Amino acid sequence: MIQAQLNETNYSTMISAMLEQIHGHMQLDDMQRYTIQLILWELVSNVIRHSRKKYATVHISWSDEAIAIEVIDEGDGFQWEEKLSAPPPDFTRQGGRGLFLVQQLASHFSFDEKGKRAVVMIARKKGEKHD
Amino acid sequence: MINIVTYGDKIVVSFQQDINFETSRMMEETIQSQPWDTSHLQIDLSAVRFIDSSGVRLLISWLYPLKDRVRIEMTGVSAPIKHILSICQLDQIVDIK
Repeated sequence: MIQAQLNETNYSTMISAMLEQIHGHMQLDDMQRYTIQLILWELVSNVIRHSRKKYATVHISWSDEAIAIEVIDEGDGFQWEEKLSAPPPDFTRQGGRGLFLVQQLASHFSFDEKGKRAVVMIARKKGEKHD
Repeated sequence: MINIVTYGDKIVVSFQQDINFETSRMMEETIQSQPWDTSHLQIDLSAVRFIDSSGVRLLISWLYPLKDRVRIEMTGVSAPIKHILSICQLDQIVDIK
């Protein structure tokens, strides 16, 4: 299990360090590595950009089946329902692809009621989904 | 950060680092300062290991308005980046090699 607090000055370095730590425990292929990096990057940078508190607490754990990532916003959270139910962004929309990418890459992605705690599961075997 | 070289009617744009939340704003300034008066644009991503949603936003806002008058190809694209660009449907407006 990995636990860390990431803020706007350390998050890039910390995400790289966490990836190395995970890679030390299991052999990640290029796509798995990229997926974990992108999900951490999107969720943490979202908190840093939009939350009242400019840091996020991250927990990462794993089993033979999946890698579980929790990103906790220590601020007020956000209205996640409308973001996650929005249609895929088209070319005329410049933004709105961060959470969309997380949704597409994860086998499970949810928030708690207040939008403060994101939970993401990444299947270690291709095609698996987690409810 | 970005190298831009013109060969006749072709412009080659080489990104020298990852395109993300931290770098995309400066890259966007460079891109917006160019007229892109060409019929063939080659974007070299061989030095890029990571693109996030800010990077995708930068590429779409730059390339979508050019797509009808410029042949756009991307070279040196890693498999994970190709997958991300495909999820965001960039492969519909750019020839990704």
